[in-house]
Amino acid sequence: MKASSLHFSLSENSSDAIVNFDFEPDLLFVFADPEFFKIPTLINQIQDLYKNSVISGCSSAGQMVDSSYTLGYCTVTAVQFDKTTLVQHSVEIPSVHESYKMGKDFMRKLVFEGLKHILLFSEGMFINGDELIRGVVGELPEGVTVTGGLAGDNEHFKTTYVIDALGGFSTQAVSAIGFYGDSLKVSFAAVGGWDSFGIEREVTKAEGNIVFEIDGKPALELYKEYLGKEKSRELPGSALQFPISVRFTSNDEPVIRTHHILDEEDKSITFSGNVYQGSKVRLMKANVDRLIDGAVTSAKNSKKDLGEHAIDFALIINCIGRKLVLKQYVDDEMEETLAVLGDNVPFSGFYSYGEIAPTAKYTNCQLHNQTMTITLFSEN
Amino acid sequence: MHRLLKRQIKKYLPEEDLSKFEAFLEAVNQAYNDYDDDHHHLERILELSSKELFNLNQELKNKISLTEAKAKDSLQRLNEVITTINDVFFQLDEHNLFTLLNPAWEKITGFSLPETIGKSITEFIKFDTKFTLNKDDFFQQETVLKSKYGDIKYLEVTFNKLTFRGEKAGYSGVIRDVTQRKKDADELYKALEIAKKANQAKSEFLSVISHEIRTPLNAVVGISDLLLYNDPKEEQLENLEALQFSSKHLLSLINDVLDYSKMEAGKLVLEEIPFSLSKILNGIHETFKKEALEKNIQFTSKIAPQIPDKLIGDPTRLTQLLNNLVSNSIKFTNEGQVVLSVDYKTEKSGYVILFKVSDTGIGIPQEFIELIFESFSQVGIHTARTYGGTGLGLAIVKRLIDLHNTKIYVSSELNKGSEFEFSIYYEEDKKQSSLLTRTVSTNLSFEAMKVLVVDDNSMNILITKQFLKHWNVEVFEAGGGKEAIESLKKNDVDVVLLDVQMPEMDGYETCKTIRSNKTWEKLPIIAFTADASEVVHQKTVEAGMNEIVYKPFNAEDLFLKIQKVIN
Repeated sequence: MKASSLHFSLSENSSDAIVNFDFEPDLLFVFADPEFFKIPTLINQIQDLYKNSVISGCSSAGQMVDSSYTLGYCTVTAVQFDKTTLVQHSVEIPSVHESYKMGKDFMRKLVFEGLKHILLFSEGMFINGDELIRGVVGELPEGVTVTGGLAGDNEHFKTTYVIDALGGFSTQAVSAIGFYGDSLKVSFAAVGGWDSFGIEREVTKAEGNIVFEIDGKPALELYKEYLGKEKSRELPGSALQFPISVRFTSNDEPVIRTHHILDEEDKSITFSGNVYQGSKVRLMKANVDRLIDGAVTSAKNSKKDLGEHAIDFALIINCIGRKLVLKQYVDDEMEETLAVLGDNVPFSGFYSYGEIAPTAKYTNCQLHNQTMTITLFSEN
Repeated sequence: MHRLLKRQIKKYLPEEDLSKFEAFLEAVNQAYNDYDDDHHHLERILELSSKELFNLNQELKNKISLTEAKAKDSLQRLNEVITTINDVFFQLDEHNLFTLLNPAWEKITGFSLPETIGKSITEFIKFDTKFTLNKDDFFQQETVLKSKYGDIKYLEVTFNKLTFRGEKAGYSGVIRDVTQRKKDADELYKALEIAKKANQAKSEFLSVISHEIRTPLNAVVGISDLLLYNDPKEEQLENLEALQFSSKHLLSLINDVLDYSKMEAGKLVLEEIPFSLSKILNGIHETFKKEALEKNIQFTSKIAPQIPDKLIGDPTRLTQLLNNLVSNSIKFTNEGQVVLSVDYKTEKSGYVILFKVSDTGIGIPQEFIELIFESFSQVGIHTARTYGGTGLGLAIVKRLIDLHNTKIYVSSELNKGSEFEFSIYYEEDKKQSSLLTRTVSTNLSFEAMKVLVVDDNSMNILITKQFLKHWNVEVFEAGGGKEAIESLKKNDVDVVLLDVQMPEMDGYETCKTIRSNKTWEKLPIIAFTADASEVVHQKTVEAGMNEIVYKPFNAEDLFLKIQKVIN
């Protein structure tokens, strides 16, 4: 397996920047500032240049240029496999209520024989990630793993873009790449490193991913009380720094959820995934050191699961919420993560609005927020 | 700029260098501010969380103390109950050893709690061999225990299986001392037996006394009849009639008592024989027409046209029913009228006959209507003094109505009158059996007839003889069974009139002995008895008697029966 990356900024001429790699890529990952998607020529240029490659990717909330967080960049990573074959499919999600059905229908298009892993990139604003994953995972045969992420748009939370299977891109698309073949090894981990505080509370009124009441009080009021006046004024942007942990039943591992929409009218909070009535929730708060520790743990866990196999390529999907907390430490996180994986390991990745992965090897695939989700590929 | 950074720049950075480090200082300033923000937020979180936890803790403490107080209270109340109840409350472990007992145990058994706890329940209480502990979840046993002082206690023990994490963990239960209850029940049973016997004795006594009184009374009635039959003198007629009325009245009172005692003893059985309804109704009408006339009131019978006549049932009891009701109405009516209405409707293979007796008499106060069917009851002492009677009439009516499996309805208004209504179902007599038709002729006579009269009561013989002689009959007498057989051997007799109840050899035995002789196999024998019961009727048939004449006899009836048997 071979992998190589290049990047360029909005001010550069893309046709000059997109040059030939020194190998014929099977797969191209394109993660870019949403501004690039407002110039339709970019994707066409890549398409024209790499007619035989699978092109996949999305707009991001920040780009990873080497180990640095940047804005206004486009990163292109070419991957060539030795034996692994690929299939790409995409689908348009007409409304949030069809997330489950679309995930299900979509998977039925795939041939399951020899299928090893699926990478999923979805529009990041309107999708109900939990329902999408439920639809996808429900169709898949045992042993097939799924990882991926939700597209971002810097910190605007307005419009995200996903490259589809037809060579274009869309604001409502979900795209999947199926990896086939026995020679491919895939491992993954999704770790947050956030701290919960205060008592565990119960969601007393909710519908799908909209929470109206927690412990019988209006959800938004409770949330704002703990945020304080200063930070409340910075909403909804500051919400990313203060997620909640959710347990659907008392035996479940908690997952982290961030807020997408805050409704001042009915005091509700809309989350990126389902928060069922009766769920137990705790407010969360980040500590810089523990977030960095979380990223390092994610790298260690994914590496450990790959065993003796060398890491040929790493896909890093990192939540934008972490960046908002880490601020000047944002690059420390990437540097320490890459130090664990190996300084020379080729990687690609983006800052996301949500991550898709099982928390560990044998757990169910879930939607996450606020995690560093790493997928490692190895081929022999 | 952050206060601290300002101070630091002032102290350590010469002003000319400031522009060189502008970007760096901006980053440091941002970091300082971010740290402060974060710090403030943390403080806020801590403050809010602490408050929330404090409140929750307070709430929890309150709840705990409230719950503790409640638990303590319930426990105390439970203890009070357990200590004061008269029943034993116990718990057994899995080996059936006592682990818990309340003071009631000591009160009932005499064994103290320390000497009982830890011992098996079976050491104290005897259980059925059928009964096995350890088997059922819930059960109850009546059993006995010998108390510490040696007396026997009857106990009712209830067991309830205890389980701990699915495993059997012994029993809890209640022991109730039922010794007194058992004693009471025994005594009650004994008392009931005594009462039953007493009642039986009373009935028997009444029956015997009535019979004893009836026998001489029969003679009085018979002789008064006889005297009237013998064409008395004008000046004697009034006295004789008074004698006849009084003796008949006395007889009917005694009959009431006798009947009632029979009913009380459950000895009265209804007959199922063919009878003529119209005859009974005519009889009633004839009997009471005169009585009503004497009281200057009107007695009317309103009989539905085409009323069925030939029915099967108990004519004696129906007559008694109507007699009692009509005589009652006449007795309590001083002006106006008494009406007997009879109607019918067909049902199944027979008829429901509806009887109604209404009067314009004194009426019954509403509160007494329920009581009038009680024996010996009349509406107030005043009533009894004014109107006389035993008070048995309606009680007999009620018993007869019950025997017929029907109901009687009473409606009454004080000083306006009363109405009694009942209906009886009778099968139709399809055989159209020819009932005895009474040939009322003034000059009755037989030709060359010889009759043997057998009775231990010489007065009865005397009366019977008087009548028979009127009919041109040659009479032979016998005071007992043996004497009768001797007489038969000597005399060629056409008919035997045989009293059923005689000392030494009774009528049935006498009849059987007579019949055992071939010569007298077909000799007509008529039974004489005062007992109209079905049992007696059956016994006369079995003994081989041809007919029955009930005492006190009606002369015409006797004549017709003799006529019937010799034909």
